[in-house]
Amino acid sequence: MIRWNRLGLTFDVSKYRSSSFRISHAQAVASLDQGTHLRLYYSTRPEPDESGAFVSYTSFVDVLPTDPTVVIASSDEPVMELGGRGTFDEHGIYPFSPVVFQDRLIAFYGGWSRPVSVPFDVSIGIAESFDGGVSFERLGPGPVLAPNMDEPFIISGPKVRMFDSTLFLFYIAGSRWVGDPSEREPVYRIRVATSDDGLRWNRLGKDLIPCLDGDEVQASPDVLFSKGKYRMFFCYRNSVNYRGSSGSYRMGYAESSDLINWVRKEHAPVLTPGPEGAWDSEMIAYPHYFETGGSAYVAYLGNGFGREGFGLAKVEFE
Amino acid sequence: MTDQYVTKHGLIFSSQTMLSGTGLEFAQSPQAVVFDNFIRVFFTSRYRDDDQWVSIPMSVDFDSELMAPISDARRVEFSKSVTGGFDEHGIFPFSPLKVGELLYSFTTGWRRMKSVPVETAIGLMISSDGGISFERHGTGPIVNRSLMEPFLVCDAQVVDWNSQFHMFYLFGTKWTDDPRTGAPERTYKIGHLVSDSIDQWPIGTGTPIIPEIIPLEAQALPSVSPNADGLEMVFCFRKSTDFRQGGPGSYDLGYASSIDGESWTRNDFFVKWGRTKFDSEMRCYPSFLDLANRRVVLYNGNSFGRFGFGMVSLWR
Repeated sequence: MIRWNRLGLTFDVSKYRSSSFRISHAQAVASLDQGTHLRLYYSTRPEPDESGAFVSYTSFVDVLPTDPTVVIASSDEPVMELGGRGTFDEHGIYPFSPVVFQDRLIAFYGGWSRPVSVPFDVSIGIAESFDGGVSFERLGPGPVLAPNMDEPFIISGPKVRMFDSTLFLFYIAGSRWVGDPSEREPVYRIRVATSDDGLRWNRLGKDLIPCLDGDEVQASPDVLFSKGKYRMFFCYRNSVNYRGSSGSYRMGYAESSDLINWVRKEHAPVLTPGPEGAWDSEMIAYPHYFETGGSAYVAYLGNGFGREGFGLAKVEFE
Repeated sequence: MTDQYVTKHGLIFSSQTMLSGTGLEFAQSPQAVVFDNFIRVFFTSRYRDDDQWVSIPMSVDFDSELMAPISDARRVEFSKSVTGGFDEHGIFPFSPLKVGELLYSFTTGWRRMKSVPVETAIGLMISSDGGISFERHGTGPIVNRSLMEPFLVCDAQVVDWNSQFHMFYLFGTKWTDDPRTGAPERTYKIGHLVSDSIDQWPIGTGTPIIPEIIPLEAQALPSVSPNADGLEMVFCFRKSTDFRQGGPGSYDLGYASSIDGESWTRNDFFVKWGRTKFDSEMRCYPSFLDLANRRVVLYNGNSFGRFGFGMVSLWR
């Protein structure tokens, strides 16, 4: 049993506009408990270029540990600059997932590039912060996890977790592009890799979450441990016809005893779209679970994939 | 190596003759495999698509002395790339390696990008019919960009030496706009990986193994072969910009030797060879081939191999 208590759109990006990097979107929240405050990283965008293409930057907002709906500080800068010419992260740093590992604050992030034949490609990079999480520096100009023999493109959506001193990276791997040449859409599925040092990764090499149908696209594999089991919130949708219609993102849920074998709970009481007119009436996307001040929450995106900002819901497992 | 007797044969495969009527031009990066009664030379040709070139692997058979072609030039058969795949826009070069009954090929896949012309990665294909047709090993690359090697991982050649597989390849270090044309040009350096398995390779370190001799030197097409003392390598090198018209700074052949594969001594004695009409302006994309009585260097001459490939024999 899972209980939800909606708290609404708690971070409205329009109140924090900065023309250089933050005009719209606050996507893919990742939290970092820093004691006096909870830091919530998210990815945002300046105005698109003449062709309508966006870049993404990662920034953060600090909220009260006792009430994460209350913003106490907002970053004025992106945490990292975009990559140089021809690099894997030249056109975006999104999403972003920090972890404290061996006394270092490191982060894994999706780096975006622009091929000619399809709209984008993504590989995962690694960065480290030397100023308590305000800014991060790349450990190298290239990616730490890139397409390989069995994962031909779109290695993205990193969410890193530490369990028993091993790093687990939950991520998505693209399997194919579908649709007409002018409207290509990717299909990607959730996977996992493990590492002892953050640099050399062993990929499990298979999809973790069984699909409901052959076209399903999965994202945002958000893993937590609570009440004796590993749990994953994620989101899923159709591969085409999903922008603001019935095929759009819904929250998914799965359980595991070993982080490798997952049972999808299709009928679990996940958070469903809000009433007509609500900010989350059409989709529930990119969930992120965190605990603070004795309660548990899920940050998530509503209509427009987080174009307006992100919201929160209190959650309780029974 | 440096004091061997040398014969320059000039052009041994003319693309104008052998590819006439096919719509194909170029015969780049010749790399050969010796069979019992013939030698199969793999190379890359190009066709025009939408105002851009697309490179495709080809092969042609020669007699066992490499005197003349004994077959037509043919396309290598393999399945098309997936949409968005790493070799969607062409393969060049194509580097064969015989292992037992199978013929492997290390491919360099090209895909066009928006902010720079191209990105590359290394793939693997396997043939069980002597190289007429290949199966892709996986849908994606076996070696790709990594933490210290940010782009343009390409030109892999693998040699089986001292019970391990050694890959010599390139990794890109810089994109530079040519001051005259404004076009973005590539700088890459030769790297080295070692593995016990042919398809699993360690992460590159971004360490060039061949010292450069000109500023911002671009190195390409390493081809390595064992000798009595260790390994020797032929490769090509050029300036990073203003190298396309021939003249100083355009591609020439380099040479290096090593006893362990890690530390290399460079000695470009090939540059002292006299030039012919075939290679009057540039020499590029070489490979070593061992025959019974000699080591051969197959390579391209002017215009990056537009007109075919040639040969030099190094007699033992």
